Amino acid sequence: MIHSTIGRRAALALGAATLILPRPGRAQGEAVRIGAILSASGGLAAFVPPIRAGIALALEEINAAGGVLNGRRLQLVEADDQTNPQVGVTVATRLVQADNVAAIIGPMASGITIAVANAVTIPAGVPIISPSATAPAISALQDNDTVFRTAVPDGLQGQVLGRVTRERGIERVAVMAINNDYGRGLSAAFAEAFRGHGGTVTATQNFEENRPSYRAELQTLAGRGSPQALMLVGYPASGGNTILRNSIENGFFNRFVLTDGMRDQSVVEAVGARALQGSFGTAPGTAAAPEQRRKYEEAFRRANPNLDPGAAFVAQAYDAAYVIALAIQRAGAPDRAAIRGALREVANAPGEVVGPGEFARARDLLAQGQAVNYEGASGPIEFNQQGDAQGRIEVWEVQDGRITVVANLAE
Amino acid sequence: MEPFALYFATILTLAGIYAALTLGLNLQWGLTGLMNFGPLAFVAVGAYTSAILTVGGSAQHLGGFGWPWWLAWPLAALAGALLALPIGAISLRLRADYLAIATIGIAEILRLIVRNEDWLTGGPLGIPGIPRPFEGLGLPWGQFAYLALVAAVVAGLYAMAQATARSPFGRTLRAIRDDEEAAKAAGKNPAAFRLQAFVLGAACMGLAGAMLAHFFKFMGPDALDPVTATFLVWVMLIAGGSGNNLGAILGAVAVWALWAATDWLAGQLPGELATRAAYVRLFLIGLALQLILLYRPQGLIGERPPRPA
Repeated sequence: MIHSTIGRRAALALGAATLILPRPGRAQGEAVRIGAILSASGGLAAFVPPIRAGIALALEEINAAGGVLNGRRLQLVEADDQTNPQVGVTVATRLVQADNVAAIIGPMASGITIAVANAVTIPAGVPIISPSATAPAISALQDNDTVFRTAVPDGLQGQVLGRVTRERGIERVAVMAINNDYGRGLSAAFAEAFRGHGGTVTATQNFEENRPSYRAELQTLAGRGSPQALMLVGYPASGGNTILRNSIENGFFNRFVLTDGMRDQSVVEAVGARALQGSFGTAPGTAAAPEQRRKYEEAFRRANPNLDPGAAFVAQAYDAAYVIALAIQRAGAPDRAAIRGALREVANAPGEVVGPGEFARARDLLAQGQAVNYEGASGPIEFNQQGDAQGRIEVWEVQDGRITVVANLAE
Repeated sequence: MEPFALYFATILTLAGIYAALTLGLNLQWGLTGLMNFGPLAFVAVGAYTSAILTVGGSAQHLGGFGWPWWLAWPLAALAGALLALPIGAISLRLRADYLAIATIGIAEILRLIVRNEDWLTGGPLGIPGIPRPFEGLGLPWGQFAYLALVAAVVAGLYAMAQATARSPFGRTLRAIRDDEEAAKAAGKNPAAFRLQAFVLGAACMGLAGAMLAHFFKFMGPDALDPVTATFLVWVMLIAGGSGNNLGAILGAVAVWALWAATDWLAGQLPGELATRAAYVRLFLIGLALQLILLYRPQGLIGERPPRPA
């Protein structure tokens, strides 16, 4: 039947491919395949090396502890989405249909996650856990409970930032956000919260990346409704620093409300610590218990002396790999639907708390029929109804030329 | 067995969509010699037209018309043609390389428009939830049925392209491409013929855009990448043999198969190497293009103009 549908030549190719490709097996001892869709090339490529190392570390630890399901190893099948949703859909199809993975870590960008989920993983029922997709829109996907994330949604960051800005006595802000899903989503969440606390957004401008100057936009913003501060969502290298410099040099703004994208020491170096006096920002904070975090950081540094365990979304990726492994163990088979069902059981309370590097203990507990509750390197990993992990948001300032965390808030 | 059959259906579906694009470009470049470096623009217009007409209502973008795909697709082709009409009318009088620059410019303008006109296109968030024809059949038959639909569309386009190439109209296009002065001397109006070929090719691209959007079930500005929507199409046409419709289809299938195979191979490499492989793939496609141009400039199947009977 299949042959007649797709033609003789394709059938030949198909036959040849089944000889080459390892077949999905049910035999004991065969590796269990986990997919990872990372943006190894394209706009997000810089984030990938530590994230990949985080996932690899988790799988090495699990395999060293004897693997899942009576000694089966976990094998990572990686794919590069080139930071492009269409390529993401193509490679996700490959992971799901040709490599037959049990679950997928990623994709990294929100737009790609939505595209991949809609076109591939929701119809196929494959659970995906994104370590870094933060757009609020992902919570609203009609996903049959297949889309999870260990990243904290931007909705929460915007909410906290709106309240903190108001608490610091700022009543009127102008908003300037990078023109992509991150900038739009986060600035909208901020504006809603800020207005809810009685503040006024005087004007909003979405900016394109990598322009030589943003004076025109800033002049428009500064001239309308006498804002007291500029709320800026962006990345330092692709426009954020230029906006700060333009604002300060021309006296448009001298106080800034920033977000996680700008939480980078290069910002302080680019515009100077004195210019950032009185400015502040938010970022996803660590919600992890300190001893769990320390176990992860030590193991990560041992395995990768040149990479930073605190880099963006690395701990989240590590945790995603861990909860998938635990869910496979709990499900008793690398079955997609069963893994989906088991994810909350192993990640959420109640249960015996297990942390990074404790896979063997968790497996023994599960074998005894006990419940486990994974507390990860990035936070307690409690998936809610929408599959979002609950996290914390930190508030940071520049003190003595260094970025310093001044508060760590849950809501 | 079934997962692999599904995967091959996916590869073939995408190859088929690219074949439609390549046929459109063949009409413009292969037959008429119009250097269109902006297939992206026509793909975008077709994709968004069909997406907006078929998706459910949303506050994020225009929509809620709920048209069936078989009504929306012809309109997507029409939208591609309508975009081509003013561009062609203005820029086809320019020499070939100026047309190339003009089409690159249009493609970039369109990318900025879809990124910024939120009310229409959903801005950077794009349009999710585009229905895919036959998805109600479930897996695997829904996917095979979509492949059959794409194959039928490509077969139809191929038949029309062949008829065009053999017709007096097609002969005139070739004449204009090869020797404009001679065609003029024979009483043909090159500007009018060029415009017609440009518009027809753009309609093919609009239709391909619609098929792409319905296959991915999502359309957003990040999905409109010049590498995959313009560059790859040119590689396919040149590899297959510009001027030959069968060559255009063959090139699309061969290059896409290569693209998919290298993706799979890169996935087998360990960590660090996989990152590099991503760039090596792009490099290899460029290298393959150079080699084809140097050693087999006519492509896999060169042009075979019909002999006068």
